Amino acid sequence: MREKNFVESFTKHRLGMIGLAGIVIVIALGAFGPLIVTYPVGYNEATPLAAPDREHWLGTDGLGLGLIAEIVWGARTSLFISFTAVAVATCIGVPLGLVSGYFKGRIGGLIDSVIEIAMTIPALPLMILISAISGPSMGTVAVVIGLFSWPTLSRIVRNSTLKLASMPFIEAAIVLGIPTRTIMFKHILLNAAGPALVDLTIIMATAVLTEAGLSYLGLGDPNAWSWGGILQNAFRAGQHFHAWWLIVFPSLAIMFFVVSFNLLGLGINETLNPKRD
Amino acid sequence: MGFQEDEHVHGLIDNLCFAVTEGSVLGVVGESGCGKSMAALSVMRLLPSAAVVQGGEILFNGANLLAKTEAEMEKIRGRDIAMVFQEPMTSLNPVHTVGRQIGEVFRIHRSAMGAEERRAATVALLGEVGIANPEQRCDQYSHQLSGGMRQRVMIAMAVACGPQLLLADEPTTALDGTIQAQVLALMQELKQQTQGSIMLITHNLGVVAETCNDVVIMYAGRVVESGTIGHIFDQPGHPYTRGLLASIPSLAGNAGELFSIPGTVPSAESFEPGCRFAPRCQLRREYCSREVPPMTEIAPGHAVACWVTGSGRQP
Repeated sequence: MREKNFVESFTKHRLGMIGLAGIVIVIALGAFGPLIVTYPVGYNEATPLAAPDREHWLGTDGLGLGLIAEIVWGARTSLFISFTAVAVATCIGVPLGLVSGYFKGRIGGLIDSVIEIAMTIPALPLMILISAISGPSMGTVAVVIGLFSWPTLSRIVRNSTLKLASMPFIEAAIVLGIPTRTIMFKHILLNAAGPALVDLTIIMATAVLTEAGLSYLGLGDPNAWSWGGILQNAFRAGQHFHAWWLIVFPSLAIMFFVVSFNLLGLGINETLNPKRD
Repeated sequence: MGFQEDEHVHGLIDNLCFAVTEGSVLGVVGESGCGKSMAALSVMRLLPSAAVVQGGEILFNGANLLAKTEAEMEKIRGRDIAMVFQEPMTSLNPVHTVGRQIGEVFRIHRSAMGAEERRAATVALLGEVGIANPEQRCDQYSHQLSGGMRQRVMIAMAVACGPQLLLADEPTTALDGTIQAQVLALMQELKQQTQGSIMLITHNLGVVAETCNDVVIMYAGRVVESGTIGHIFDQPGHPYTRGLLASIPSLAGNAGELFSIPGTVPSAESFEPGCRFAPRCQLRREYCSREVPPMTEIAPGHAVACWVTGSGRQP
């Protein structure tokens, strides 16, 4: 009953639609923005640290580069990071969760312990370590974030799978001679997609936050503009004392992105949950 | 086709021995928890992981199913042996259309079929199992169908490849009376078409009387009586069978209180030696609990496992 009405019910969920709209805006910004605003590089004739005015709507940074351009190009980084991280987390987390939930025996138990251990590892210090060792690059950061986000996804998929595996329709599928892999990916995964999708939106939001954090610590890619990177530049030069716009606008961008994804997750969750009013 | 099997954990089912003859319907009757479903699942080699088959063999067309590999079993399931379950409400995947689920059976067991051929076969099959507007129903989800229709779809999936043996585990229990009769009639009809056999698991003797040729009565994991439908209904040999028959309300009967067998089925942990029905049996002798009564033929094709009514000897 869900699948069919899902799109319809979701469009009625106001907060979820606001989140979706927010994400569409960020994606549009990342996709088409760079076609309009040129890549901010080098020195500019514009006044450094100019407050927002008619010419530079969001002001300029210490090099006289327009903040609008930096944020637009930063959107690209954020999108790249969050989608890559989610892809990595999905590739690891979903199969592990499916297998551990479907094969309840020794394999399942073993994978479950692996998930549990992975969940206890504090991500940030290790991410800092890995980024520091491997050198700052956007790809590395994205993959590392993904490598640390799969355990929650795995656990969610595992829990749904445990429940679904004992459903009569799965038994019926086995009885019809449908191969195990088909059952796992076509019959179970599709039914478990709801909660997993919600977790994906959370991973996306967290990935952007983490990337901002790493960039802020100076572990981001210095060759790519990112929202965290703008903040880091400002703080490193001590400009945040007089140029409020260098702090406020990138922070607002991060918040906008994260809140959009959280709202989308909320919308999906509440649409899938039959207990809502 | 014959099948025979011993002992599970706690000796849940033992010395189960019966045969489904080609083209006939075998009824397996017993109270809840007596091991009927376990017997069917062991034919499919789909017992829950806690259950262990400790011996015996299950012969299908002369080959022992217990000796097959899992890959071989996957080919047999759904193609040669199929199964219909009790819960039509939850036996269909809620996120796939009915047509897609039936089509999947063709895709796996009839891989030579193209997509259009599959679709045509699915629609034809839905029509065969008595679903009106099969073309349209094909694209619907299970929640858009009634309980009776879902069970028809389940039967369609089971008979898609014309299985030689259809295991029906209480296929009509969850349906209301009129639909029950229709579904049973449908299964009979499809059996005629495919020349297959049916093993019908039920606790409803009325259903047995209507559909079966042979009957096996199970009690607490053992066969207590087997015979043709005439044997069981006209000359029941085992006290348990007699009790079951006495507890059916009869239209002609007097309006007194309905007979019921005192006590409940023992659990696997509390099985006593000897006859497992003895504690509830009205004909019980003190020697009944000493040794397991053997299946003894009391008429050609009619066997009973009872010290009192079956074997003319005492342990």
